[in-house]
Amino acid sequence: MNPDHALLLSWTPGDERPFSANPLAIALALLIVALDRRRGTIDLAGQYDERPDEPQMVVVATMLDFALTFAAMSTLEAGQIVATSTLRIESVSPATAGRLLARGRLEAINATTAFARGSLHQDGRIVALASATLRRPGGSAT
Amino acid sequence: MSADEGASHVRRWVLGEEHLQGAGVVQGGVLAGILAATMRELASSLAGSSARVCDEVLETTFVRPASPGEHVATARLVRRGRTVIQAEAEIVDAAGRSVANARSIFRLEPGTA
Repeated sequence: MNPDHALLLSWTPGDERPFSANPLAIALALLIVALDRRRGTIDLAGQYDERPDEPQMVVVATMLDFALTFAAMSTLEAGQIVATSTLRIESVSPATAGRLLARGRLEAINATTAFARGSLHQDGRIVALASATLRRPGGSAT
Repeated sequence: MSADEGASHVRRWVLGEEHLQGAGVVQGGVLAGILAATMRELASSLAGSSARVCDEVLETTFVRPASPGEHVATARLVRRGRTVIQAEAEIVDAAGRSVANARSIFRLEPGTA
């Protein structure tokens, strides 16, 4: 099973295990803050270091892609996966170095596709809004 | 025909192990971000030093999984208005296969870039 999916399916409140097999999540110090597998909602905390060689939109899009993908994956059984097909991001305000909070929620899902929305926050301010369509390779009717 | 029509910008990106997600391929957000950055560089070059280029909307379509290695992103101007710049971009892998494409809208605000 995808190790990220394993963590999503076993996470309990207060659990601070990192996504240990996910290099990008490790680099962002990504942690699950809240997760509701029944509703398909997730809050992820991450760290933005404002490195000069890393465009800000890379971090913004990465955090949002994780939140939307994980929101959908959290509702699926072990062995089922999703892959981002399209990602739309609306930028609201710039991020600065520090902690970011990405929120994702599954809006709808069928046999082949999941639809998710989310937002990225910093210090109570919205940094960006996002929506995504996610393919379900080998997906089954739900 | 405006002086900017047909403007483009090509940027080489090297994606490494640090850009992989849990399934072992480059995370989609990274591809979206570097497409946005390439388009932003084009927009900034067109806007000049008198305007600040601000991200507004980014729409990315993922074509195939990307692996670590060299990739090339090409951004092209779609339209330049008084207050916005619209651009599109594609990123291809070392074999020349398209892995993702995107369109973006940048808002131009008065001020130093």
